[in-house]
Amino acid sequence: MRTRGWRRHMEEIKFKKRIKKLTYQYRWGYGFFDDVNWKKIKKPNWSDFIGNKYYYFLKTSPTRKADTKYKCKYSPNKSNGYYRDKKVRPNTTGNREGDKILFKRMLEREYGIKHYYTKL
Amino acid sequence: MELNTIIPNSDARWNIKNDRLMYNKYSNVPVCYISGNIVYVYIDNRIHNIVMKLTKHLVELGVEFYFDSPSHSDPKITKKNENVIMSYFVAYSNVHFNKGFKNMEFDLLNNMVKWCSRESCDDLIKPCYEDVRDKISKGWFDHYQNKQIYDYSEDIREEFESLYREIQINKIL
Repeated sequence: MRTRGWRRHMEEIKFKKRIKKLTYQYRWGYGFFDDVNWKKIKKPNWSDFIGNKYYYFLKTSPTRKADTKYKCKYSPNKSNGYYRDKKVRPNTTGNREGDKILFKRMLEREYGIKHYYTKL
Repeated sequence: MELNTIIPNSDARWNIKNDRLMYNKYSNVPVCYISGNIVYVYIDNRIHNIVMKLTKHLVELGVEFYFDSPSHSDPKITKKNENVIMSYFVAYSNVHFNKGFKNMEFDLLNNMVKWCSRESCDDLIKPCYEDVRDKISKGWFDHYQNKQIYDYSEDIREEFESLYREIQINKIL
């Protein structure tokens, strides 16, 4: 069955292909590459790019289509709404990120459980 | 003590190779090793979530552990005490480790002071601290926005200015 683990595995394969193309340029350059651990590497591997800005830049974003929220709001085809904001089920925002925010607010107000953000 | 007893959860991405515990995040990243009943954890900024989970598990077990530089996982590189102290400070400057260890109530500087007294390399703390502090406090002036820009936030820059005093207090205690 194609579960969330399978989808994550396929995205990892895409990410590895993209980042291996990028590292090919660095291996023929004269300068050093700065690692996340403040280490200077002459010929970096693709695994040294994890945690760098390219790691977040080359990951697949949740919008899988070319229609972003900006285009849906300001384009002449405004009748077609953002596909992830459509409320398929009741008592939800329509997407996982919005439901997570509502759930955390509910925990804080009703049960007093706070969530500390460790990621930016 | 064996590496099998240290794994914090039943995730399938943990594996053991060449007497080292590894985690598969796009590739096998070394996490820790054991030598003489002491656990040494590679404090790698690439796997900050996993290092914090492991430290929390080790604190609950009550095992003696210290941190090691991730560059020492390469057998070609000779081990130096300066690299280990630098890795402690670099991790303390990282937002994820800084807030994560505080929420966990784990004192990273105390751990560093204990390791330095064990290896008798207290003289190397101040030059490494000054190198890291100079890099963190660096900034440049953006003429388009007419303001000073820094790579690190104000909280971390202010902490690092008074960090050497806390290290000296930890030495006395």
